[in-house]
Amino acid sequence: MNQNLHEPIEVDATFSRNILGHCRPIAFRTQNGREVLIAQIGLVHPKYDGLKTTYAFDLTDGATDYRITLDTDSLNWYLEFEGDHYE
Amino acid sequence: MNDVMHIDLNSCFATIEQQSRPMLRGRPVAITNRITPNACIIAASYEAKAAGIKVGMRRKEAEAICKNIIFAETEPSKYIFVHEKLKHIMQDYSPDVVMKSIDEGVINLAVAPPHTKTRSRTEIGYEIKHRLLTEVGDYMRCNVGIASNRFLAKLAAELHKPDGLDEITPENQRAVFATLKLVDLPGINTRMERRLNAVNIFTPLQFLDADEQTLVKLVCKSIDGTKWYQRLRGIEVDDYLSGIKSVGRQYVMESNKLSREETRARILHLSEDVGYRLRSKHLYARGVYVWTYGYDDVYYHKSTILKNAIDTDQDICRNASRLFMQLPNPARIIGVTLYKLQRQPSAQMTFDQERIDRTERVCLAIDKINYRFGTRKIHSASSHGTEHVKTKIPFGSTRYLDHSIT
Repeated sequence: MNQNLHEPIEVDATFSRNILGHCRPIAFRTQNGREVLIAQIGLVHPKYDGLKTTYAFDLTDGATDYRITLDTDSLNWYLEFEGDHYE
Repeated sequence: MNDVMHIDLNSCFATIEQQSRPMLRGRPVAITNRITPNACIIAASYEAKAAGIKVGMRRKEAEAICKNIIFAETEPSKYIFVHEKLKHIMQDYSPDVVMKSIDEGVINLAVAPPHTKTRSRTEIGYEIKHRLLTEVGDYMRCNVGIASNRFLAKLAAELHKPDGLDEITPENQRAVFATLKLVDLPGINTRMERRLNAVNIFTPLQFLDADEQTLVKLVCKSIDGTKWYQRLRGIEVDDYLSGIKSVGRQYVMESNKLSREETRARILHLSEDVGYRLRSKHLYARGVYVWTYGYDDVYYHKSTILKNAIDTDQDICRNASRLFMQLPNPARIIGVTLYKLQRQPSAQMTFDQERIDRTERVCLAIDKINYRFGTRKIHSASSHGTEHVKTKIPFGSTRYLDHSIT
């Protein structure tokens, strides 16, 4: 099922110096307790709304594509999109 | 040594979507501005191109050719991010980098620092390819063309797609040209091909061997003939930056059932957008041009040239609205363009100067708020309800690829 969401999530991430950026999510947990292990990060890019920056992480667990975002004002993570098929 | 390097991202938007969403990789993907049955394809992945999908096709046509094609809607923030990353990589090699569009740019290595200038050009080209993979994403590919001028470098970049790297030198130029058709050369379309055919030039090699007078007097009938003569010989004639002559935006209507008032609201939305772009470049406009393309396939347009140059949303909207009311509705595509641009406001003061100054201050305050809190946080009431008329991908010019339109 493909869904656009804006659901607060908990994220395990590493912060280290690497060429693609310093923050790399490893896994995240949704509000209902489902845990997703991240297999691959597709693209990490900033989105701007005025001077506010949100980082979008497009990633996959191998079967489903996800977008999670990091709000750099509040440092909260959100699950924005979940899709397991394309038409 | 060849000093011009042309970098071109392969099937840019489609590849970025495949980079972004790993499940799309290896599958035919078409990118459209909106997911509607009549949406026009603006980019296709190499898998889609192999299945016969072409840029410009309608969604229905594409689905008839390729049953398993996947449609994805454009997401400008991703493309602008990749554009910026590519530009930063290129700027590491020379201070003279010109981005020709969102997915291609030119590096002039003639002015590069000595430690770069002395390096092999192909080595630099492969390094840029590698950096694109490691710094943007492992699915990103680009074509690199190396030559002595922009024209030949772009041609070299188009020789082996995707992921090619080619150099055109005086030694291999004739061999390269022998494999091409006239329309394969950048800047040669079917009309120019017909003009060349008229003087018995049918191949790029014949074009290369043509004398300057033939090109000036018989083909181009202008100084352009000399430019082509030099361009083909690797002499740089395209190293210039053109100024801004107009600022415009267009919008493909989402429905044919919109009332005149609803269409007018979209015209005002476009007017506010072009106004913001105009002011972001510190320009003023004297010309306002409004056009519509009707469902009867007829192009309608109205324009006005004002005595005093304008730059505020209020003035632009008032003029655009007045012009639009003289055009027929419904429309399939609408557009607003400002032209006759100038750097200074009109010197002549008017009796109405106090009102003009007040309007300018209000406009400036709105721009500041929108810059701080995001595009269209404040806008005119008349354009309310048109939030879906968001800015799509600016093809060609990269002048407005800043945060304000993401």
